Amino acid sequence: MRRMLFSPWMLVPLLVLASVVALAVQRARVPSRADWQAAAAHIEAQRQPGDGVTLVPDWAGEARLALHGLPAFPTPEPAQADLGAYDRVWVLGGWGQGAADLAGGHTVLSSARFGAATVELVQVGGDRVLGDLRTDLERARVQRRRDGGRVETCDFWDGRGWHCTLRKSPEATRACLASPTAQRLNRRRQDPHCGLDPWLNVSRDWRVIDDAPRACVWLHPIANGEVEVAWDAPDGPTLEVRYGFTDKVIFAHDRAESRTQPATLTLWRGDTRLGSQTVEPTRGWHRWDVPWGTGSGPLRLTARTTRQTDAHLCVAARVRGPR
Amino acid sequence: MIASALRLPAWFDHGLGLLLCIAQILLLALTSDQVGIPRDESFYFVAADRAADWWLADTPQTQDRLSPEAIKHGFEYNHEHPVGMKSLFGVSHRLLNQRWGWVKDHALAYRLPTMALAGLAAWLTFLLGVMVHGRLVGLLAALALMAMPRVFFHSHLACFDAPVTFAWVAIAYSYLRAARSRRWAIVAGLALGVGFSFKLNTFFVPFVLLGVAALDAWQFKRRTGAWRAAGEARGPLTYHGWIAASMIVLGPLVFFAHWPWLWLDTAKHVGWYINFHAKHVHYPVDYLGTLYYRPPFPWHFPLVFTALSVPVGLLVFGAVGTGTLVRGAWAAWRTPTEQPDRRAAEGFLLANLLAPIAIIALPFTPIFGGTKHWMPAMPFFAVAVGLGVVRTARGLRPAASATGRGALAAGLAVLALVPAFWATLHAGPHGPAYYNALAGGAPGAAALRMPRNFWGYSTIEALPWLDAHLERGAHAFWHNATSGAIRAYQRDGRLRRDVRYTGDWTVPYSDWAVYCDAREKLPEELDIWRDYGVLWPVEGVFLDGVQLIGVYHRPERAAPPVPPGGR
Repeated sequence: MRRMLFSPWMLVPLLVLASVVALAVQRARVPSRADWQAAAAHIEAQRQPGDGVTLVPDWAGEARLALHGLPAFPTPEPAQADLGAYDRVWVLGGWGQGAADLAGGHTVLSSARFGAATVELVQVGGDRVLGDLRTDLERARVQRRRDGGRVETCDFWDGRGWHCTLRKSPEATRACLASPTAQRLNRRRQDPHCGLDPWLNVSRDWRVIDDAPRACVWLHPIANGEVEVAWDAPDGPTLEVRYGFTDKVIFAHDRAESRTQPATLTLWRGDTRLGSQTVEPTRGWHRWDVPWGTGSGPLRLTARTTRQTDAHLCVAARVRGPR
Repeated sequence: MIASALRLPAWFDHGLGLLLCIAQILLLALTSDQVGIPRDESFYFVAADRAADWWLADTPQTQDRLSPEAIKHGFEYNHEHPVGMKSLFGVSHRLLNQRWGWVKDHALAYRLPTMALAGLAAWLTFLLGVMVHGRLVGLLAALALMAMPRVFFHSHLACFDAPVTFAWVAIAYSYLRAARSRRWAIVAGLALGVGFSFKLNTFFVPFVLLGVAALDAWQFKRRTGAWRAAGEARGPLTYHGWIAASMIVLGPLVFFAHWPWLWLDTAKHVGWYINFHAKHVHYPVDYLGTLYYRPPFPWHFPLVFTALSVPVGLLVFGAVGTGTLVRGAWAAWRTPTEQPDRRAAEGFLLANLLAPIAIIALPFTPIFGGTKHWMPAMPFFAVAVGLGVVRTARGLRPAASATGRGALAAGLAVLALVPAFWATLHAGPHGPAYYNALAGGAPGAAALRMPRNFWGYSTIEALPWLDAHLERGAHAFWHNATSGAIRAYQRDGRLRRDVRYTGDWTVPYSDWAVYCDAREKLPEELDIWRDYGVLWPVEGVFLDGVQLIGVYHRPERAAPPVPPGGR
């Protein structure tokens, strides 16, 4: 009988050997810190005013150290990335990921390699963001209207958002906000937030909604009344509103069920009511596209609910149009 | 392949086992300063000190040890876990560090008992391998256990997972000896009690062994035609009866005796202990892109996790070895009369390998601890690795002499063990962040969205940078690292003492934030982004480019401007 030249048992050491080779290949694909720094320096030298910078994949943590000083923004979900605020975006990539993983419609203008890191410059396609409430929040006007008719103007800006109630004078509040960390810590028990309400405000924010960080405007609705944000939004064909409750109050908790009650968002242009959406206490970063081309006047967005507990609502509003 | 009767270890085997044990302890002790202090360990340091007060009667409150005050002082804190290990941690620290000054590093002094037990686990794993197949399998098994990065990580900590892994092997090994020896029945009962004193997992061991004992007795019946041995001889039923009696009497007795807290208000305290674990809270776990907050959990969680977190070489040979065991068990089942008396060793190894994994695979078992919760399976898997190597060598060269096959097995072992030891030394100090080549390493696991942090352990690697860069009296927010952990680092000189711990949920009162990357903690990283007004860390700790720790720095505080229309 002829002896078999290849024993199936050979597969066992071959499999192990393949894993060693795979390990070596995987190690070689890891960009070093120097690779990222060289890539970032290249972007810094080449970028033009108005360019954006982003990183793919988002978990390439070491690259984040190189992004200081660049107009960089995170893209935790590349396939849903919204680059509409820019004409051109520099994409810092690694592990074979880069511009090709971003939502479609972009043209790669140039690419370069720095060790295991890559840099691609893309011309952004698709709609352009003509105005963004979050970016313009300092120029927005905020008020709270109680059902009884009482109106509170929220006109104190704490650097991040608008507040309606202060426990001390605006000057004293500002001085408190600017005080050194040691003083803030010492006063933590008596005055943890410099007299500001940490929840009921309208602020520029980042929140985890539908399992990803969302750049949004914190818009905590109130019971027996409504919060209104008025923004002189630019003209454009479409207003895109994104909204959702934070994951923390919807499902990322250890209670039997969520305490959040539905909220209602209503949109106006001047005195014309454009529509309304009920925000159910369910997981999601919802999208609401509203025709924005007709009418005039500021955008007015109101939020109300029947119960304030865990009403952790965050919204984004952008006017979009062709490039 | 496994056809001969079990081989009892000789003194030479114990000598080899001792060498492996010492090597393991040295390896762990020499790398202790690379392994950070997770949340729980910092609490156990405190509990350990209190237990040491009691055992050594070191404080006025514990002079009269049997007084309720002394017992409360020693054991009321952290009474959700028995005190066997906490007592050893505390006494080790008190004597080796504080009293005799032999071990300068406080954390190492607490941790040495765990390391010693991890060394003993390697010894026992070697002996198990010797018993079921021979010295080569034993040696490979012990080395495989030492070369598992996650086992390596947990074997450092003054926690209970490595000790209970040792306890499980010790109970199982003493059971296997006791299956044909009355003297060992006493050891088995004592080992069970010691296991009870370490951690709750031990309660499952007797049920696993009961199944193995039934198999052994039944195979004896099929082999001999009778349940009992003829004449003066003793059969498995007799030995298992002794083991059962020993375990039933000595196990609970040691458990009760070791824990003075149970001496007070016994029914209430035992009830509380059982109730606490029966209704254990669930912490979120990120697994293949889904954050699980509550049951039911996926049954494949421990299987996939094991497949992605044991070095591939060990995994492959372990799979071959497991297959060999299954074939052996099947042969013993089908044709018992043709088999020698092996005390159902194949079933024994398989049961002990699979039971810890199966328990976690149940959809309502808490899974937040990840691999550490089924670590007791790993010594048995390591034996399977040894068997797999030897079986593969035999498959490759069936006609070779024993020496030739041994040399080939050694070559195969090198192929599996060298990358595994490299992975252990490279990624072992970050054990929970280690993933094998099948996962694509740490980056591949990040892409798969598998977790890589474990309650603050990785803080330690950021300390040298922080020590060099933080201003005097800096206010630091230590996400996930407890005040106890930070104090422990400062006590051991790993962090300047002027650096302040601001407390939990204190981002607004800090200038530095040390964030431990974990998907379920993402809202806390965003708290830093929001409050500091920055998106990018200034420094960090990375494993193969993937963030374990992000260090954030707050820009200087300034009074906010007054926008048009504002006041």
